[in-house]
Amino acid sequence: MSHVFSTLSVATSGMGAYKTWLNAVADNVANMDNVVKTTDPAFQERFVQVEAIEDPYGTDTGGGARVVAAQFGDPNGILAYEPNNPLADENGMIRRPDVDLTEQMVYLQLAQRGYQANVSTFDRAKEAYESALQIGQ
Amino acid sequence: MSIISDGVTSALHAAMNGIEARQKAITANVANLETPGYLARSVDFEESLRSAIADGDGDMSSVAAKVTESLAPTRGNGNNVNIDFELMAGAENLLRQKLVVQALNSKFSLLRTAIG
Repeated sequence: MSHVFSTLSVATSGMGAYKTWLNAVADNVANMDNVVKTTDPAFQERFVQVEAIEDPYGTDTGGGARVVAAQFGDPNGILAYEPNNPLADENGMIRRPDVDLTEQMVYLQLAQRGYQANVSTFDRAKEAYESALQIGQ
Repeated sequence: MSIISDGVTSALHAAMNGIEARQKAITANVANLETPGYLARSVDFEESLRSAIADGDGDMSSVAAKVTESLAPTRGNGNNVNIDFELMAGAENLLRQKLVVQALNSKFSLLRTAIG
């Protein structure tokens, strides 16, 4: 036996995981041009790590997804030659984050579509519960 | 077993529970669309419901939702959730659920007619 309306919380867990991913992608893209001195670490892109959770009510059907950790990109970034940059060292070098915009755009699409798919399963579960509430009327 | 709750209503009730378990499995599959290593789950309750009905004693306590993990080939991240199958199964499951609700309502309206 499970909690009433528990499917809605399963769908919500998926929405939450994809929203976290969207946030991480947005943050990575927002910081992709952060230039620092070569003595400082570059901005590290974040990768969201997700795992499946089991149903807290003990059924085998699964309980959705949750974000367990963030993985970080390379703090070495990319060294670039920009002698006119005020942050450049004596050799004219600066450090840029190693963020791949193409990769981030692909992640953006995956996260957005995943979020939308979870919204549609949420709507479907809600419709099913609404129809169950019509029993006997 | 009483007049109100006979073999038909308990069979429909068991079907309703199975359908809800399937809805939940589908929702969990979609939530784990990109989770590395996640295997899609499917629910079968029809087989046990069929044999419980075939017993003819109206006892549906043996009906259970059997959950199995998909054996479909996985993608690079070890995940094998197939989004179009899941959304299709979700739509079908919802229709089945409404069918059961309608059947229950027809049963109750019959009873209401009989009660007068």
